[in-house]
Amino acid sequence: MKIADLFIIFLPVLSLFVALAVLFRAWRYRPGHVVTSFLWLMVAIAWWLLSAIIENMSTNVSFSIFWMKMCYLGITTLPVIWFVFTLQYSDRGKRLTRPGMVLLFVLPAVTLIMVWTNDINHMIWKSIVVDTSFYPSVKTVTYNAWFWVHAIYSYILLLAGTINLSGLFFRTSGIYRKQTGILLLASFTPLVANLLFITGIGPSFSIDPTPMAFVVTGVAILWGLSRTQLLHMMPVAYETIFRSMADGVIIIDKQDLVVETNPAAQRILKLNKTEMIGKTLKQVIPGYEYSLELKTDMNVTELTISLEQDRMERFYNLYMSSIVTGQRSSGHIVLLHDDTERRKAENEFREKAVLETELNERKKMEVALADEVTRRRILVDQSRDGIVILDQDGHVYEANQRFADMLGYSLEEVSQLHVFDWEFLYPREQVIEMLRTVDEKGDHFETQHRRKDGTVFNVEISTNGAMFAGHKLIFCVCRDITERKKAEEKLKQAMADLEQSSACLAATNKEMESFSYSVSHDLRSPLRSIDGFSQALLEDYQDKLDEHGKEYLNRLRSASQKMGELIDGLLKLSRLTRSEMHQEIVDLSALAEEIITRFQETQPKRHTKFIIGNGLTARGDPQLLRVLLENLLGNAWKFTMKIPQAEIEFDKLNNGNGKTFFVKDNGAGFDMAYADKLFSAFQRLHDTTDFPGTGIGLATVQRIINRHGGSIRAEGVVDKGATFYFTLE
Amino acid sequence: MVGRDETILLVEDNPDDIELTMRAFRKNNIANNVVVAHDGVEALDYLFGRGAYADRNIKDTPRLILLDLKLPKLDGLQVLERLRADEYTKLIPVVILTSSKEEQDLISGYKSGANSYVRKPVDFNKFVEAVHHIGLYWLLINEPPPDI
Repeated sequence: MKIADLFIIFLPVLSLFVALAVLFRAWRYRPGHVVTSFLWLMVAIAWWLLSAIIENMSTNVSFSIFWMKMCYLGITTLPVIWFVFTLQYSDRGKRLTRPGMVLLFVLPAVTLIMVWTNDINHMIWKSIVVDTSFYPSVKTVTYNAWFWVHAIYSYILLLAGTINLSGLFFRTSGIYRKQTGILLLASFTPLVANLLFITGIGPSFSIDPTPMAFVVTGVAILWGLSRTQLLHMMPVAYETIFRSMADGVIIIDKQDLVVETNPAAQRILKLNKTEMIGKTLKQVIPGYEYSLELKTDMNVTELTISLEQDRMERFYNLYMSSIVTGQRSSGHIVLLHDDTERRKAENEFREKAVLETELNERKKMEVALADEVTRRRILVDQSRDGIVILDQDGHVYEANQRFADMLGYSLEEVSQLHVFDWEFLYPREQVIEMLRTVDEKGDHFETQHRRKDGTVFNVEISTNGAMFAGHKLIFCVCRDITERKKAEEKLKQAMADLEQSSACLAATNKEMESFSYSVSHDLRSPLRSIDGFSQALLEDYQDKLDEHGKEYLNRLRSASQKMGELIDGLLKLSRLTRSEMHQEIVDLSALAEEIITRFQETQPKRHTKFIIGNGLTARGDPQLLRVLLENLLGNAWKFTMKIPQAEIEFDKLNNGNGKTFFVKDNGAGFDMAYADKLFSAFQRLHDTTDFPGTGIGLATVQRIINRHGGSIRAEGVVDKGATFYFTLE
Repeated sequence: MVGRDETILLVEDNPDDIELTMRAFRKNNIANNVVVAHDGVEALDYLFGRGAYADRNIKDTPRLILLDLKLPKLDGLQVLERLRADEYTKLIPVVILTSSKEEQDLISGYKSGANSYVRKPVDFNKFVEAVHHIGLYWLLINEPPPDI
């Protein structure tokens, strides 16, 4: 086998595998019209190749011819598919309607019928001579008329496809143009190959190279597909979007120079395309200050710029994204997105939200205010004082029910009144003056009001004035003080009475004082004379007096001395009630000890047991309390003088309120039947000869206790002892 | 007991009291010349050499004055105040001899310049005793102020 022969077999097989691989690789890009037609294109190519390989390998003549005819299934359909593919690729696929598509396949269908009925009509081949002595077999065919119809139709379709691509090439720019260029170049390959094969120009082929050339095209398309996402990107669609999109797009190259802009960008920046191409971003976007160097690793850069548009300020968000091909950045896409509306909406929303919040707040406040008003209303309505609000002329502005009730009017009637209708005491000019001058500091006075029925009553007015919307209102709280006035009158009367009686008392005291003075002075002088001259008689005339006479004179003397003592006792008693009291805490235990010591000094031979409680104190006048204890302990001392085991106790009772003191002795005691006479002046339960005394002591005790607001009582049994219980508060 | 030339002025309106006081003096052997003034005016006349005592040498002051408080015309306190205001009489020892034991009388007595205050007891024996002590103290123990 010659090397050329190997090549003839090997090359189509290789091509078939490549085609199948392309088919397999392109499968992943489904779905999509472009991809679908590309897949069909590859199917047609693969079929053509497969059929051709079988045809050439075959040694049987009829079998070879059969597969030659089978080839036409791919040969006839391929140009149509190619044309459809280019239409779709250049985004003109939508021009192709379903009937149009069917129409395109009419001619290939007729051709196929002609191929399979060639034995009858010989419209494709005039003659087919197969020489199987060679391997692969050599076919010598002579084409008839329909073949050329088919060929021309196919070429027209292939050329139309190429024209589609060229048109796209000129319409697009940048990376799209590059892709289209590759595709265009690839599409020429099968055209040239086929032309060479059919015309026999160039090196002679023993097999048709067209399908193999198509494989090259397929590989190129697939390369574009995977390399630049040729099919997926749908350059024309993107172009359309690019042109029609509302966002401004500027594409800049590695040198930061503008290479492409869309109409939106031109409109936004108010520059036409030629004014922008080749400029830097700083030159085309006012206020753009950023260096792109710094942005290269960033996928997106954003800043907001403000531009005037139709005499309105508009805001644009600027996004920037690097175009990365391979590992390198080949430029940037700058997107200008109009953010004005969103901002406006956002502001409106924010304003609305603020407004809503304010509205809610106001509603809340209104509710609170309404509550407050209700509370105040209740307060005003429930007030025990009459409340009336006057305008600056004195007309009633508002009044509460209590005020109306006070004046005997209905609430409606009151609202028609003027201050003159009820003010009784103050003259009109003065009332007007008061209305004029009263301010927020307020005023307070008493006056009289006239009721509807003409009766007059006393009121106390608290008033103040305040301005409301330029008008002065005067607030008056009126209290009916009739009862208070009455009480005040009564009190005044009582005070006057008291004053009078205290004046009487003072006079009485004064009288009492001068009385006791004269008692002390004048009553004693005669007594002294009686006593003195009795003594003189006894001394000077003792020889002329018998025993009886002397006895009588002695009686005269002792009676007068006794009377002197009584006078002294009376004076002491009256002094107790007159003297001023000085209240303080008095240590009664210490006081009692002191008194007892003095008693014992006067009669050192007496043996009396004293039991004095510890820490006894009381609040009172120290002088009077001394006299009190002197009398009580003195009594106990006196009435126990005949008892061998005398015992005197002074302490406080544990039970009760803890304020009861007692003085207890085991002396003469007394008969409880006469207990009521104990505390009266000059009343004595014992004979003077048994126990000397004036009968003033317990009366004095009683008076001291009375003056301290306390009480005293006594318990006693004759010859067993007596106990005096007393309190001081 | 003491030199006879030294006078005691007794100012007392009650004749009983005068008699009893003189008796008490006697019982205590007080032999001084006792001049009795029966009221306040008479007492001052004596001391200042006026009226009935116009020819008396006022520099010859009494050794002691026994003064009752309750007196006709001028009372004891007024007499005391006057004599304390006078140059010649202001240093004479004055013993108030009275029935009153009223606190008020005691205070005003001392305030007005009394040197002593003695209450006349009802019991005559006690009165004699009191006079004894007065005489002992004021006429013997006490050093009189020097003559002016």
